[in-house]
Amino acid sequence: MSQSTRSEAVASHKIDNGAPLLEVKNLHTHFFTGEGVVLAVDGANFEVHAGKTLGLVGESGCGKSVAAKSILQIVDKPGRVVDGEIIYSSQVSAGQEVRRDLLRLDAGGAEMRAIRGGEISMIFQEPMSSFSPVHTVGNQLTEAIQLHTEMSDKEANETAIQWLSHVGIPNPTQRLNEFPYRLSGGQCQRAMIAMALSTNPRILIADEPTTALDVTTQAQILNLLQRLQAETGMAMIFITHDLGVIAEVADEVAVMYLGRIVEKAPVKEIFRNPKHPYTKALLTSIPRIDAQPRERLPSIKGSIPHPQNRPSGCPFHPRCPAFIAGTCDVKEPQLAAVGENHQASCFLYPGC
Amino acid sequence: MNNETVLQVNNLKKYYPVEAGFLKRQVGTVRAVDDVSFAIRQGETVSLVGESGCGKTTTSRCIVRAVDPTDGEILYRRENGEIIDLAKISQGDLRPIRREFQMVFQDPFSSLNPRMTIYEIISEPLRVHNIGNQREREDRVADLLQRVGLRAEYMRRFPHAFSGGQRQRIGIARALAASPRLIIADEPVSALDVSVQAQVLNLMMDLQDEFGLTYLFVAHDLSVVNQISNTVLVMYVGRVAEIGPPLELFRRPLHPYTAALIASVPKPDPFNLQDRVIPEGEIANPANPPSGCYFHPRCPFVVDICKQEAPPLEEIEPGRFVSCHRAREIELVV
Repeated sequence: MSQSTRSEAVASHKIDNGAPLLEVKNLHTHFFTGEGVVLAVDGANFEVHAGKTLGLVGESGCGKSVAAKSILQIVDKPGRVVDGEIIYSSQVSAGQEVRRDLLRLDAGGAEMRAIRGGEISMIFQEPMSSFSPVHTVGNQLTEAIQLHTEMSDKEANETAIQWLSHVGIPNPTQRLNEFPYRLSGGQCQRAMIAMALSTNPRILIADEPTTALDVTTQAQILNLLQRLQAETGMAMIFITHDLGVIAEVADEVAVMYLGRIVEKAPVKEIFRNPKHPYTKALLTSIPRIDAQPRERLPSIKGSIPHPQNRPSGCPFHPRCPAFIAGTCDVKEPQLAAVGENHQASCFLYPGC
Repeated sequence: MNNETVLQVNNLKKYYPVEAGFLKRQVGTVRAVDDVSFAIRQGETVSLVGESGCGKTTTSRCIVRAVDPTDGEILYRRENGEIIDLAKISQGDLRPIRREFQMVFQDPFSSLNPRMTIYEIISEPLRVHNIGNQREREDRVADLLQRVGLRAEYMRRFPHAFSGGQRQRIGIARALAASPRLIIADEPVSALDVSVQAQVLNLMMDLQDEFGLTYLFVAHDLSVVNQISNTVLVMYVGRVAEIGPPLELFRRPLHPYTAALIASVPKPDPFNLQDRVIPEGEIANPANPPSGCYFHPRCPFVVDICKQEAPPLEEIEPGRFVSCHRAREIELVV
């Protein structure tokens, strides 16, 4: 991996006055399908702070990707944000911030387009299918750069080369003229990261960016993202189902289950002192490389319900070892404080 | 081959030609599996682990003869003690023996025919091998469904009615239907959610103990492999890097590639985030591999001999095989 020096294209955004950069409040994103309404995100609340990484963790169908896509207003049809607020504070000039509700902006309008891919960028799970196969890597990178800056073709080209070398792609000048199929999975993800960061975003949304990669490549990409975050001071929303990855990259963790955030705390607190039965069960049921071989793992009974078959009350109650009949299957728990900086939604704790 | 060994693979090779041009001239060879040897004892699990392109799946497919190996022996001991070489046997002669080894696949969504009922899916091996009549097959399917933790009534339903974990249980029931001795499972839990993975792994271990099954387990996830294996075989670009029991192999690896793999696995422990030594560069291209030891361009311990000669697989401690020129002198920490 070539370790280039810090390029000039990297701008620093280290301003943290304590207020979150992005606040998602009571987000509801529903899918209106022929068979009924799927509550993909059903009341999610989380904040993203400058320079910090929020880990959104959960299993398939928990709504973590839909929540992230709602921020950029790129939820696929028939999905729609039906309620909530996404407060983002943009920097208009040095030291001056404007707080706007992204959901009130027109999805196709100029303001939203300036934010999407500009101030808030996103990288995806399948790097190969996120690039257009019929345009060169350079074409796609310079397009992104010129959409968000006033650079000339030449300047944009130079910026693209700088970024490719910055993310550790060998022979960046040559790579620029090649098509994505020529790159390996890891290189493709590096190019994707270069494209996402070439506009100096203040928030990077990474949706399972290493799930499709081999484990040694995954480790390289995680290191790369952490290095770039330290350099630029950008915030990250890191979506994954892998608690190992979460332990490594996240500062704050939000655990999702069936469209809701069931627990939220700083990363060490989540691993040391999990409160919600789902979080506890997840942590004990993951296979570990340092465990005793051939031992049975404690497992969570049942499986994730079909989204159209959502259980009443707390969505986890049919699988929960601490199920309280007459409460958990009737009432819906609310996210409430269970400790310092620690919230959970479970009737085991007062206030929920 | 001693009496406890069910399967012994000796110097297995699978080469694919690389063709180019209008006349399809052969311009090179992909050595997908290059001189792989190992043995599995009755009732035990051997895991093949490695990154993409390491040849773990090709090895397993050679054993079931979904692909024909280029060279080498695959000695299989039948129930009656007869030893046959699966690498050389004709497909026709193989057919009656096939009942004894069955596969479980990675993707529970595409490995079950959506137009067949669960009964038809699970009883298919019985039909193929002419085992039992309709009545007996139904009883067998009902019994199998209960064994894998599903209800017998489900046999009239179609696959779409089941979740990923349930479908994988159905796939396991199908593999068990004809009472096999050897199960070859290719990434059986990697498409499943974490909360369901543990259930399926536990089920596989329970069934193994109950029926004395022998497993060949193919996976990329070291933690899963650690959980289920008696012996782990680490592969890199078609070759064996290291063989050993999981407890020792994952705590004290002997091959630098094994150490690199272990270091790369993100550990679910935010309290011990040390700076990991991660291998640089990318996995070698099997169509154009480096000289000598394939890992040498990424290896922190490389010396001249590594670039010139491929290291042989040697048993340097009882039960621990490694192919590294420097395995005896280097100290690997994980």
